Amino acid sequence: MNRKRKLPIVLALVSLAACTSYERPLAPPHKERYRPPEPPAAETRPATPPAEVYVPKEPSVHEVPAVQSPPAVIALLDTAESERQSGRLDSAVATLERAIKIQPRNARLWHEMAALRLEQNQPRLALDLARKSNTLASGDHALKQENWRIIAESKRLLGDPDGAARALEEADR
Amino acid sequence: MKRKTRNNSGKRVLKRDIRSRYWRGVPKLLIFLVLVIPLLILLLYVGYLDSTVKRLFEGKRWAIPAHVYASPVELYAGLPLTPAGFESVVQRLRYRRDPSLSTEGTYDRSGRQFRVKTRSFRFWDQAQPGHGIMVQFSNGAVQSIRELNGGRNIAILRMDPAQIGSFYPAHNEDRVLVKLDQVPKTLIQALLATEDRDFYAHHGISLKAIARAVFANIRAGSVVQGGSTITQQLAKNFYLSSDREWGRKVNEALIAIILETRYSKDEILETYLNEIFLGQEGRRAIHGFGLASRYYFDRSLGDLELHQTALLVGLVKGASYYDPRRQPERARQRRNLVIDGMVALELITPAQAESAKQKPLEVSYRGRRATTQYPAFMDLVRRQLKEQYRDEDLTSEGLQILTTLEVPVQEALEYNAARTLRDLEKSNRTSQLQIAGVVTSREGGDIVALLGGRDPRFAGLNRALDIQRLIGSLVKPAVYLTALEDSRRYNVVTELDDSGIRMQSGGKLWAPRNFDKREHGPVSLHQALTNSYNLATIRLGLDVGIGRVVKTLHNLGIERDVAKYPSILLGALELSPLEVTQMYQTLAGDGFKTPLRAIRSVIASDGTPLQRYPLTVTQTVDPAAVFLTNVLLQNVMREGTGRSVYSMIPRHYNVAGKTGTTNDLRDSWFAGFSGDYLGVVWIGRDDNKPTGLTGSSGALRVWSRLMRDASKQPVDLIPPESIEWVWIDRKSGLRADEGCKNAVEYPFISGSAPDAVAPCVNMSKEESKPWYEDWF
Repeated sequence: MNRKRKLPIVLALVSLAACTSYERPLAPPHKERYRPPEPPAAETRPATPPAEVYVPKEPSVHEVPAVQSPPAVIALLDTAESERQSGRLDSAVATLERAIKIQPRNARLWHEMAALRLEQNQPRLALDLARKSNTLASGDHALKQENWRIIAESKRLLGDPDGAARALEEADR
Repeated sequence: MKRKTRNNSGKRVLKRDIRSRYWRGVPKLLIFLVLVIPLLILLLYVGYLDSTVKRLFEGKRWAIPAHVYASPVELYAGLPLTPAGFESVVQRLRYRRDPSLSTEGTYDRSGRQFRVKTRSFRFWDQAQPGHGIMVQFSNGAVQSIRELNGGRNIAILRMDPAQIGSFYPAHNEDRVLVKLDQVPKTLIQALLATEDRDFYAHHGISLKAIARAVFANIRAGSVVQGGSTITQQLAKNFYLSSDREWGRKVNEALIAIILETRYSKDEILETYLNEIFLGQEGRRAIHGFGLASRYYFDRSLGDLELHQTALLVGLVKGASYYDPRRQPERARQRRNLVIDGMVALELITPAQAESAKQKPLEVSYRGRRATTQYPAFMDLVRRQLKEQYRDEDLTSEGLQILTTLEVPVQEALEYNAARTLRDLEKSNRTSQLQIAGVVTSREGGDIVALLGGRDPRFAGLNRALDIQRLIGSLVKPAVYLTALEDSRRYNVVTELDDSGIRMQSGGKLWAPRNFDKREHGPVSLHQALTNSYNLATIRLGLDVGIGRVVKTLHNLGIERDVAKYPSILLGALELSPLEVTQMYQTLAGDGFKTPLRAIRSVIASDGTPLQRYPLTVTQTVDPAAVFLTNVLLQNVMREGTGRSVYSMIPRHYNVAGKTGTTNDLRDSWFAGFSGDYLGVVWIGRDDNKPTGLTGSSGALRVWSRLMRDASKQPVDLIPPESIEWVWIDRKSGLRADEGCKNAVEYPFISGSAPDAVAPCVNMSKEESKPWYEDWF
C-alpha cells in the first residue's frame, strides 16, 4: 500500500480529528433521554435514596475534559511516522499504542494502527482495526472512507475480492 | 662372586638382608596406597576443582533474576495529576529529594513546581536517556514540562517504570551486574586498601598478608584481621560446603591458586565485585556492589560519593553485623576505618577523609518489603511467561519484563477492598469474607490491577484467576445483547412478559423467581434489564434461543464449554473473575474482543527486545447491538440495581455495569466500566457459605470507591452509523414526538423502531393545529 504521506498534513488532520473529538457530544444518552416509567424494584433498594454526597477530592481532576487534543498524542504520532519511514514498523506500533493509551477513543489513532498493520502485511488485524476506527469515527466521513480503503485492501489480501469490492463502494460513497 | 661378597662383608650382607627382608615384609600395595594414591587423589581432586571453578566462573556465572516492572507513567501537559500525586510517583520510583539534582533519580519540589532528573531506562522500542526537566502543575493537571537546559517544551516524557518484583532463583540471590570499567576507581582503591593490598602482586594467596594478619592478631590478642586475599574470598563463595575449618581453608587456597592460574586479575576482581554478599532483605540476598549501591543509597554505582563508597566496602567484612540500617553506629565506625586505610595508603588526602567522615550515613529509607508486593499480579505474569519461557530463563537470564500494572490503580483497589470488607463485616455481622478483583484499561485489555484475596501481600489462592463461581445476573447482558442483535424482532422497548415459569433444566424441575419474589407482568426490554428481572429475562432468552445466547457468550470471550440449560440464562454458569473481565471487555470495547494482557514486552539483559504482546482487536459482536446494550447498562447504574454508585462518583461519568447475586447471597459480583477502566469485583467466602450480600451491597461498593479514586474519564458511547434516536411514548411504547408529554428518546438500530404512532402524537397535532384548519 502506498502510504507516502506528508507529515504536516497528517499532523494537521490529526489535530483536527482530535479537536473534533473533543467538541463532539460524546455521550449521546443524556440524562433527559431514556427514563424508565416506574421506579425499579432493585436487588437491593437502599432504605433512603442515595443522597448526592459526592465531594470530589480533586475537583479539578474531574473538570478536565475526557478527550482533549493533547500535543502529547501529536508528538507520538510524529514519532511513529518517522519510525515508520525508517522502516522500524514494530517501534511505530509500540509508539501508537502509547498514543492510544492516552486517547483511547480517538478514531484517527486506530486508523493509523490499521494502516501500519496493513503495511506489515497483517490484513486480518488491519481489517479489525479499521472497523474499530469506523466504530469510533462518528461523523468523520473522510476518515471512514480511508478506513474502508484499508478494509478493501485487507479483504483483497485475505482472498475475498467480493468483500473488497463492496468495501471500495463504501469508500467511494 | 656372591659367596665372596658374603664372606668379605658379612655384616653388610646381613644388614642388606635384613633391609631387604624388611622391605619384603612391607607389601608393595601399601607403598602404593600411602604415596601414589593420595597423589592421584590430589591430582584428581585438583582436576575436579579446576573443572568446577571453570564451570562456575565461565559458564553461567550468575543467575540474574528477571525483573518485573509496572507500566511507566507518561507525563504530558494535560495529564490529570496533582502535585502530591506526582510526588508519590517519583517517590515510588525511589527518586531522592536533592535540590542540586546531582544524579539521575533526583527531584526537588517547590509548591506546584518540580525539578526532576529522570533515570534512563531501556524500553522495548528505544533506550531513553535521563532528562533534566521542570514540571509545572495547575488545576490538578500537568501544565507544562520543560527541559532544565534551555527551557524547551517537552510534549511527552515516559518516566522509568517502577520495579514491582523479580523472579528469583532458588537461592534468592539478586544483583545488578557491573563491568569493571563502570566501577569507580575510588571503590576499587578503597576495596583493595581494606581487603587485599597486594592483590595485583600475589598468586592467589599472600604470605605477606597472612603474616601481617597473624602479627596484627597477636598484637591485638584476638582476630582483628583476616589474611584472605580477594581471590580467596571469591573462592570461598564458590566452595559452598560446611567442611571443617582447615579443610575449607585448604580448598579455598587451592581454588584461589587455580583461579589465579586460569584468569587475569581484572577478571577475578570484576567477578568479586559482582559476587560478594552485601546485604539481606527478607529472603532476598543482595549481592555485588551494583545492587548494593541501589539498595542502600538509591543511586547507581557511578553516582556514589566517597563516604558512601567506603560504607559499602566496609560491609564486605560482615553485611549483617555492619548493617547501616540496623547498626548505624557500627557501620559508621567501620566506614571511617575504611577511609583511614585509604589515607594511610595516600589514596586520598587527610582533608578529603575528614570531610567524608563528617558526613552522615545517608542510607535511604526502606520500609519492610516483600520480594514481591503484588503476588497475585506476579502470579499472572509468571503464568503468561511460562507459556514461552522455561523456569531457568525466568530466574537466571536477567530478563526485563514490562507489564501493564498501574501502581496507583492497584493501590486504590487494595485499599478500597480492605476498607469495604471491614465495613461490611462490621455492618452485616459476617466474617471470613474473601474478595477478588480485576481492573483493566477500558480499551486495550491491559490488566492494570489484580487482587487475589483480602490480604494483597499474601501469595495464597489467587481468586482472581483460580476460583470459579456462579455469575448470576452478570450473564444477563449477553441475553439482551443476543436479542438486540436480531433487530427485526427486538428493540429496547420491546414488551416482555415478567411472569412465573416452570420448566426442566438439566433434568430438574426449575421454577425461578424474581429477587423481590414478585411478578411484574408486561415490562419493556430496557426495564427488565435495568431492574434485573429474572422471569422476563428467561422468557426472552428462551425466545431468542439458548444456543444463540451461548454463542454470544463465546463471542464475548468465554472460552470454556457452556451447557445449554435454561438456567444459564440466570447465570448458572461458573466463571473466574478474570473470565468475567474478558466477557465485559468486549462490551466495553464496542463489540471488539481484546485479549487481556499483563505483559507488554520482554527485553533481554543486554537490551535486545525479545517479545512484545501487541494490542489486537477482533470484532466478534455487532457494535450497534453492543451500543444498545451499553446504553441499557448505563441505565442500570442510573436507575436500576447499580444506582448507589452515584453517591460516590459524579453523575456525568455515565458508567455502565451490572450487579450479580447468586442464590442465598453466596456470591456478590459487580462488573462495569467507566471511560478509562473496566473493573470486576467478586466477594464471597472460600467455603461458599452465604455472605448476606447482594451484588450492589457488596461488590459494587468496592467498585464505586475504586472508580472514585482511579477513574478520570466519563463513559463516551459513540453511536455507530446505524443508530437512530426516536421519541417513544412511555405509556404505549409507540412512536411519539417531542410534543408528547410522556415521550422519551431511545436509541434504535435503523428500521427497528416501532412504526405505529402513539395516540398522543395525533392529540398533540390536533391541539397544535391552527384554529382555522377546522373550517375547511
